[in-house]
Amino acid sequence: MDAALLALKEVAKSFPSPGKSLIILESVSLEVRGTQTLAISGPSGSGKSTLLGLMAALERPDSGEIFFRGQSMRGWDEDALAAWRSASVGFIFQNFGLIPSLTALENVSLPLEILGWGLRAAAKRAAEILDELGLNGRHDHFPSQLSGGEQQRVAIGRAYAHSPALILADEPTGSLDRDTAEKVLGTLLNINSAKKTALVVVTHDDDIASRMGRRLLLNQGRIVP
Amino acid sequence: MKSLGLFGARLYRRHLGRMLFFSSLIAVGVALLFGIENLLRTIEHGVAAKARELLAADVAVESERPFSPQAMAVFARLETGVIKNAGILEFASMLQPAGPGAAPFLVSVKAVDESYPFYGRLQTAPPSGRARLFQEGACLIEDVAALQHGLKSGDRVRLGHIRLRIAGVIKREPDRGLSGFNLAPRLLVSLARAHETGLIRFGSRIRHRRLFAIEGPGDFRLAAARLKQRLESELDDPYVRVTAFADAEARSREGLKRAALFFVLVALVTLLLGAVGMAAGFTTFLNEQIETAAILRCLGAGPRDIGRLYLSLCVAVGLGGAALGALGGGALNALGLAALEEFLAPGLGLSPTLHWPSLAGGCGLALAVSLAVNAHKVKALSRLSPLDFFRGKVLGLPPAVRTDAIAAALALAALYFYTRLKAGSWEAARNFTLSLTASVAAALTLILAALWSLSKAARFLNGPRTFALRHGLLELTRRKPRSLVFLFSLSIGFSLLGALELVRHSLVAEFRLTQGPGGPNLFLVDVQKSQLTGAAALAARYAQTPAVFAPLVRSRITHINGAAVQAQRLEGVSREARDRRRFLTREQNLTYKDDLQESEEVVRGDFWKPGESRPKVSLERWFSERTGIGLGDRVSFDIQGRALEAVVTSIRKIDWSSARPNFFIALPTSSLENAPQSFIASLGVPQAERSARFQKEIIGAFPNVSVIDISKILENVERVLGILLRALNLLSWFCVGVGLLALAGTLSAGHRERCERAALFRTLGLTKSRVMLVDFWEFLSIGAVSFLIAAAIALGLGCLLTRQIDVRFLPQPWPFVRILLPALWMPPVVGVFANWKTYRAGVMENLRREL
Repeated sequence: MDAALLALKEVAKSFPSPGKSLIILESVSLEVRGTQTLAISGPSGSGKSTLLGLMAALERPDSGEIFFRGQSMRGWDEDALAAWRSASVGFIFQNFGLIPSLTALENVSLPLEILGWGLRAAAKRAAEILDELGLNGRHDHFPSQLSGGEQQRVAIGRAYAHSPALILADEPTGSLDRDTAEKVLGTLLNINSAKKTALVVVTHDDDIASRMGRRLLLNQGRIVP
Repeated sequence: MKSLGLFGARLYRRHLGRMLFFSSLIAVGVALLFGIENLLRTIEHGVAAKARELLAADVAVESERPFSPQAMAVFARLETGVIKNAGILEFASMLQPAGPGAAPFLVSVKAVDESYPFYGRLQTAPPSGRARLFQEGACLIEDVAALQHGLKSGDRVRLGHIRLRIAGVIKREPDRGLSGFNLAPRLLVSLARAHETGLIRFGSRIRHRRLFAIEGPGDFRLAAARLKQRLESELDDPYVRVTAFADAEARSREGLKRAALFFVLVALVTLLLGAVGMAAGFTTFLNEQIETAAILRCLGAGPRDIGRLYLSLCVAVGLGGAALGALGGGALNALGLAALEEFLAPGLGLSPTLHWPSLAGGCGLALAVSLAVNAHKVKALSRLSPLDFFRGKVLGLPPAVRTDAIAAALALAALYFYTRLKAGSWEAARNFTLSLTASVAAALTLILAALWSLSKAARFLNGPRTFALRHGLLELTRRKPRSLVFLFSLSIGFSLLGALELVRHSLVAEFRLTQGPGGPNLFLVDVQKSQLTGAAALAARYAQTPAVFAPLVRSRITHINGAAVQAQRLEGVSREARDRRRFLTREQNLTYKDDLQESEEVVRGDFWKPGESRPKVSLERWFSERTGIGLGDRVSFDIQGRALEAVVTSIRKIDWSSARPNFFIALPTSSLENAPQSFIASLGVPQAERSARFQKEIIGAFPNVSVIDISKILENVERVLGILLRALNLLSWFCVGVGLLALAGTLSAGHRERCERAALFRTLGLTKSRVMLVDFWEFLSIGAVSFLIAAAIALGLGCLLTRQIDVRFLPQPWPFVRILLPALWMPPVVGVFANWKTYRAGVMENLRREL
């Protein structure tokens, strides 16, 4: 049985709002195992993206705890969390999240450079990844010169270039047409199986959710059993 | 769609900060232009109100020779119950205070009679000073001189052969001139006493004036104009100048306009930079509005409705710029008046006034600029297909290189004509427009070259330690349109500052060279031939640098190539032609020699050999250009009543900084050695105490001789230039301010993208400090590029400007670098400060802000 890669215990999050606090997540607990694929779905405003942000340590919960390979992340400072993300997490945004002034190759090399790789080595690895994703010949193109599907593949490449333990994807096919969405999902699932990387996908699409190994339903900040 | 009007108002309110920011970018230039224009009109208004006082008369007649008996007869004929006239003499001389050890000093003597002044008031301390001038035959001294030399009412001084008691100190002299700058302080004496000094004799350099006042009701301007015409007609002498008070007023106005011109030009550059910054910012705004425009089109708005909506925002920005500019201009006007109070003739009584045409002009300019730079982009926005947008085919407003180029060309043309309007000279307009075009072209070329070099350099930064620097450079070099805007604005602004600093240092260094150890620091003027030996012997005892005496023969140019020189009836003639005529008809100082000095070199023609007997003339280059007299021309001179014609055989270039006696016009010795003449000399007596003793001794021996202390004059010139250049400096800082605003605005416009980038970097695992470091390197690169480009353009401009004013280009490295250093550190400070919230915010906070 895979050990729990990431575990959330009774995590809650709210945001200040005029009058009172707006509760986004309430007492959420979940686990992600080593090579699992997990879909988190729910209606709009249910707290899916906030939950993903907490899992990536992009925000701190108001209460509860998050564990990575059994170790609590509560006492970690910002720099420690950044270091953890650079080594262990890959993130994919709905609107691709590519840096517009960097080429496809440079976007994919970025996580490697952040980890301390030399530019040449990082570029070589990034080129291999782009070729694997069917983007040979697009290395020097800027995001504005790529189609939506191509941009999302570049984002995927950036997400796994540094071989993270966990890939978090927030509506990765939300901006794509059906055919392209299918291709992107296929790519994600291939990475999961080939690289043994856990995959958590936030989606409102039932078809996509059904393709994941596990599915969690979030409604009004709570996990629906 | 009527409802779009309300929507436009909501849109303006929603983006109020940005709209006001766009307005402020043009407001700075408008404030400067309006402020300067209004200040000029206020001063002109003050001058016009006191025009008769400026001349102390309605009409003045001037000559550098005594009035002929015929002229005196004309004056006597005109003396009626309605028209009064009075005589004035003005000349420079040395005044020797009576106290032990007191050094003599140069004064500007004005000899008047009891009717002076016809208009205005001579203010003295004590008030009885004026009366005592005539009752006791005393003198009045200017307050500045009294202060500098420790003189007061009751003290005794010697002028020429007579001793005078100081009756009081002059606080205000009505016709002293508009500017506070004078070479020598004023000494007032009565005409009778002046004649007793022994200083008024044949050949002395004296300005003879006759003042006329018209009493009685009626239009005094018309009466003065008629009197002027009558005097010109009856005197009929090209060397006598007749000036009505309206002419003096017009000259003052022209002088003020010329002085204000540099300030107006700097203000125009500031407006230009503001327009560039605003155009870039508004383009970013319009790009962000594409989706809104597409949605409105889907809801039924037509292209014209969209055009009207966003043009109304342009109008609102323009009006905002006008309002802010008006407020700023008003404040500048008040500050300028307060600052000029001391500099301008005191008692001009300037009070802040609002010149409505200037205000309307400034407001109109703000509106015109806002519409002119943005109208074509609004048109492009209104023509975008909403379908293309929703299909993802529209990423931004289509590039409009051709339209932008046409707009730039039209802007330059408008600038050219506007400068012509302000300067009154096509040449000035051409020089300014060309210099600006060259600077802009140089700046753009250098910026593009710098960005290209930096992008190449970034490739070599391939280690992990250079991550932040590399990405900072990539961000700068790959966002060319954005980077161009603030690099251009900052470079131009700082280059102006740098150029002014170089010019100032070159001027000061040039002046100081003439005062260098061993160089002459004193000039002797009006040494008579009979006094030459004695003066030379005295000079030899004191001077460290041997005295160089040169003969001076006063004359007038009567004909050029047989055509008589005319002075009168210059109405309707261009300013350049008027200036040329005045220059030709004034008293000319000739010299005679058979050898060239070290400070001269012949640039055209040939200088004569020693012993030349034929009448030839050698002209100084600038004199030749100004008068239009060149090689081969025949010039006729009237030398104290005797005629002499000579042919121009050479043109000389003179190094004026040598501080030797140099002359525009030189003739062979044989032509002039027997003419009535005096001598001038330059010598070096560096120690102050020794110089004072020398001056005292030479004045004691030869009371008619004047001693000009170059260092004091240069101090005065330096002081005045310093004030002017500091004022220009201040304006240049406004230019820099606009550049920094453009930087802050461009950074702010890209705030969303920067938030997104910061959030992405943090998501990928970059720490907060490293994210900040990437931006810091980007901003520091902006600073470094701006610094280097500003330095390069400043050096070019400085070299050009010093050549224009015929001064050696003598840059001082450290002061130059020091004044440009803010170009290096300000962008990182402004950039980090402008994005501080982004760095402090959490990742999700930035992501949500972006969304």
